[in-house]
Amino acid sequence: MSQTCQPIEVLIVEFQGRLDTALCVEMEAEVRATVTAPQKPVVFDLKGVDFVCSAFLRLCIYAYQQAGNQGFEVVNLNPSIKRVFKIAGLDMMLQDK
Amino acid sequence: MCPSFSLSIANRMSELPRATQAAGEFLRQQGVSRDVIATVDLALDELLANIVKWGYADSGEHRIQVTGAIDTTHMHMAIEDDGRPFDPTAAPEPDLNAPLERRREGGLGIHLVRTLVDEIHYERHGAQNCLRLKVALAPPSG
Repeated sequence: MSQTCQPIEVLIVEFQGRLDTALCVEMEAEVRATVTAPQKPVVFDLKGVDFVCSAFLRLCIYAYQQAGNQGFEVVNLNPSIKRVFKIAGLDMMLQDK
Repeated sequence: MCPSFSLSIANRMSELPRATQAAGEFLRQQGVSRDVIATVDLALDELLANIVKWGYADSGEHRIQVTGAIDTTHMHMAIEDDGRPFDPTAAPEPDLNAPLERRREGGLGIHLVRTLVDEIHYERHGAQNCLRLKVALAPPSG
């Protein structure tokens, strides 16, 4: 028996560097617009990120709620950022829970 | 005399990195661990952001004073501002048990600070808010 895999389109948003409050205020409108009603799974890739704040966590909550059944995940967190997500009770967003 | 630093910033979000960079540089020079630096970095960013965002009813410029000192066991930090009275230690905790589908976005900053720092105290002196934090030091890096 053979199976055919259908590719899935995913919206991947890559972040870089220090996501502090000052930067999050600047990028908030663009990020919210990007992830509003996405019609596909959404992934926030934090491979290049070394700092997050609560303003970024709020964007993640918004993205999660907008993605709904499509799914939302945050990937490639360093240990200190993963700890911040866990303190905030946002483990369920993490690829590696 | 304990090593210390002090600076004042204006009540603008764009000023926050100046304070966090100064604190981080001070702590690195003192050989403090990366975990402590990360804690202070986040706490300072969150608390200053709250002051800038919520602290003032007018659009004028105000100054926020940040001081830090280190002794053998702790990093001590103080943040003073002339904004509206606000005690972050009394803010309600966010409901972390609420399903993510219904989670509210607010309250996380104060929650992170209260969880990560070892002590936090608020006082109001006349027209000044004064917040004092203590973070226990890990063994020095190196």
